[in-house]
Amino acid sequence: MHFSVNGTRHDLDIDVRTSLLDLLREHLHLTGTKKGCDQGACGACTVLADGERINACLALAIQYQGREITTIEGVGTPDWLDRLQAAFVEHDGFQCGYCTPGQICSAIGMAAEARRGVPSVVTADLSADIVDLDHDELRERMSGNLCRCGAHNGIIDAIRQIFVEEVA
Amino acid sequence: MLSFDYARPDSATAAIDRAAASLDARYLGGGTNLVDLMREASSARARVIDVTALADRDRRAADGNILIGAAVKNTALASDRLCGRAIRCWPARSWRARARRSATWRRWAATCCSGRAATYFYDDAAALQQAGARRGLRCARRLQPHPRDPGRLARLRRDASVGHVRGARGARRDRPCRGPAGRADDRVHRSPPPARRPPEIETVLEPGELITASSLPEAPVSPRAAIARCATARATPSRWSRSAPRSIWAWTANLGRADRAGRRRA
Repeated sequence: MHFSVNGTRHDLDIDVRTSLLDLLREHLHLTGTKKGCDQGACGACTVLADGERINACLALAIQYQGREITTIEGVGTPDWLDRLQAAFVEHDGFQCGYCTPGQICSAIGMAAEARRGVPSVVTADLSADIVDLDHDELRERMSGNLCRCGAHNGIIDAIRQIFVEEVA
Repeated sequence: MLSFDYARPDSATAAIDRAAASLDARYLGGGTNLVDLMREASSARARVIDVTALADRDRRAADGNILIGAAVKNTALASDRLCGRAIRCWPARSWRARARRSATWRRWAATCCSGRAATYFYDDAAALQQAGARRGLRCARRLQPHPRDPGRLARLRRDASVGHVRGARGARRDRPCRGPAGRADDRVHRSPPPARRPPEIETVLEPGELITASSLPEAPVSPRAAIARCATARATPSRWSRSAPRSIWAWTANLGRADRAGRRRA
């Protein structure tokens, strides 16, 4: 089976039952993506498949052959932080950090959805080409990623800085 | 997780053929927790047929209706420009496309899948309640997720859309499935009498049948009727329920503005 993760092609012979999350963590040793609930509820395992966010725990790896998978390791490194990662540090957007990789991948996918005009359930103007990411929009769109430390205010502040204030 | 045979056909016909070849096949469309249930061994399947690659991803007008391919994802439907106005005329459909579970989950949920997590399969007590106490605990143990999962066609019950289903006893052509307004012989939820109905079978879909598309009339009968349908669609409690009414009303207002703007342009 052929997988493309963070721009690198991997040829692996894995069991058909392997989830995408287990492929990343156990076979490719990319342990930045976290296993939280393993039931698609917490969002800690969020990665990007062709730029769109998915729950890696509920995806079979075999379904994602040939798709470009981006994990937190492909977003930035400790020496070269992505600007969103730097904003999380600046705004205290985490405490234990377990949900942070999923939050960051989810935020990147969320911003791309908003740029494409994808409405959410709180979007009032469905005819807008670009969605205005206000307070309610950000919270609704990030509601699939839970933070048990309660760092949501910092997370929203960091995302707002990168995808709202700097863009404006 | 028990091992299974995996296939990813690119046409509905190929998918149905594969399902017909095994008594224990299951379609995997996205937007359900089937993978997790298989991991928990409460939904072990010998054959999993991944229908996310089906070619029919169209949203197109046909005979005054909007036809939506079953493989269209909820997010794609909610943001669709081609038939956006028609879909927005149906508050229940659009609200559901935008509100089902989280945004991440919604993105990969196909429009004709349930888009829900069948949580009662994790809990014996809840499963027993679902199965009906008269059948006892053995029944709860036996309860399995089934292709006739009612959530798959819940939208048909709640708005005026029509499902296109294929594959019963090798049939090569779509047959329509309608909501309660349809004729008695093609209703989706025409359940057998309770005394003879196994608890896991909740719709009239045959095992192996595949929903290939659904279609919507271009506009509802009246905005008020559409809002009533939308209120019905909110029967499922969710964390978004608080924000839903405002969104629905704002949206209806926008719909009116869009109509007025269209008339001005005309």
